[in-house]
Amino acid sequence: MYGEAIATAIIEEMQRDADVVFYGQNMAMTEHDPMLKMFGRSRVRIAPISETAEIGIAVGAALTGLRPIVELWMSEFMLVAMDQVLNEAPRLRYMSGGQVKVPLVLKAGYGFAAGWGGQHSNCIYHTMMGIPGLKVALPSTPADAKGLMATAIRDNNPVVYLHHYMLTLDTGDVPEGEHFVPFGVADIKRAGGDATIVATGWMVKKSLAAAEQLESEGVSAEVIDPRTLAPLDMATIIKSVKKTGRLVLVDQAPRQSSAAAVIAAEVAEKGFEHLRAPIILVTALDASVPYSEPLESYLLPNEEKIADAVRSIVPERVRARA
Amino acid sequence: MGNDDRDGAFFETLNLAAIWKLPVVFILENNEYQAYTHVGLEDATAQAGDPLSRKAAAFSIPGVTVDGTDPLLVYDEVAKAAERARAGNGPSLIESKFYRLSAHGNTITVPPVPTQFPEHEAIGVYGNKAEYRAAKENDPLPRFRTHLLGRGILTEAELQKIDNGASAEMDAAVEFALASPLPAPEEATKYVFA
Repeated sequence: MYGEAIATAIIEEMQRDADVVFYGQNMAMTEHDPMLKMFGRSRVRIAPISETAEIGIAVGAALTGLRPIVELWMSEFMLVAMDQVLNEAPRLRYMSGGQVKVPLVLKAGYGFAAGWGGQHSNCIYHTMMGIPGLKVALPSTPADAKGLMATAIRDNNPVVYLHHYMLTLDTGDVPEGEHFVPFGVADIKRAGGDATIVATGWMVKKSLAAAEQLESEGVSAEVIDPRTLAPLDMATIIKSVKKTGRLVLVDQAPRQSSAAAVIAAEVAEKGFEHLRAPIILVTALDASVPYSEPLESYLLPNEEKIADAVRSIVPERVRARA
Repeated sequence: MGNDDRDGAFFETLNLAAIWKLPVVFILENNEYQAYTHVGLEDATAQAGDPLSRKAAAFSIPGVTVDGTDPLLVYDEVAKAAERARAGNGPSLIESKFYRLSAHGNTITVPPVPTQFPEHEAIGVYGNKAEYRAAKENDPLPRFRTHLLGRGILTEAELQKIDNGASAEMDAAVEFALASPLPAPEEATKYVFA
């Protein structure tokens, strides 16, 4: 299971490396906590509701050689400590001319879409991927959830590790023991020749379902998950566009702050000659996520919107093959 | 304010309000729990057994702790602080001590797992049934009711009328909400800018 896979990666890395420490709010509250029993209070701690201090201390601890993982629960809680997240952690390695390492992981859920309202449903990864020095990982499967977390913990740079709330209970094969998913290597989740769909997190699942539907209409869509937005594997995306000539970018974030907008610009510059149709962005609308269910689903991308976007750029003769 | 006294914004705001001598009464409602975490696990003042109002000393403003389950005591302290604020003498901090009698909220569940309303954290997380029972027995509403009856301020019939009025208002609100149509999807983008 996706959620368990993340926990397994943390436990295995903590067993391997005594420098890995784990803390956050509303965790390890009693002596019965399993991780507390395993690793003791010196490595697993409950923190007060003080994100600025939690993340600031993680930066300091990382500079001294520890490898902190901060449990933040919801990615929006990082907004309380944006100076630490965006202007401290990622700057120090660069400003010291590479003399210091800042190995820390900021773990947070995101993208909840089940009536949690405007402040607990957001996708703010675009902000993070725009900060040089900060790595951003967004697993879409249980195996990637484990492999990306293990890689994040061993990375010598600050990593924002964002797990999608809607995938928490998803099941799938998870490799036993050491399993790493390299950063900056996209995964082709489904091969196809008529159109390329790029998506992350929950949107990978939606895109695969749309691709399934399109297949029955004679349209073969390739689904690519970059898995990390920073570093971003543009080579795999361009290579796919070269093959298909058509690109649909799916992103749960509002259009104006989507990773899709960044990828579209890269493809427009580096893959223009391969495009046989305009690049289509399927994103959330530029509004806060509403609490009301019909409004929420109107705002967010879904399987049907993705399939429609692909249909709009695949010519009739391709679809006629079915 | 709830558990904000563990947060930088609390300290910055008190400092600024004190420097500018703002007419503000800060009421720190100490209901003993954050989402799941007991105050003693995350607040240094509470952990040391001191009242949270002691934090006021850091800003050289008055700080007082009051039994928040007694509306008359709360009234007296807030009145004093308000008077001070209105006189231009700056802010005060009042810790109102009481207990959150319900659980923090529903557990985060992923569809199709239904929303769950858990037991109170005292029991669900810490297994402390005695603490919760004592807090329940100290419920301020029935206590104040007894006070009003005992002093002859209100009769049983008058209290019943207030109860019925409140229940009717809530029932009407629920009925209205359930009977109202869902909003049109296009409204999702209607209020982005005022």
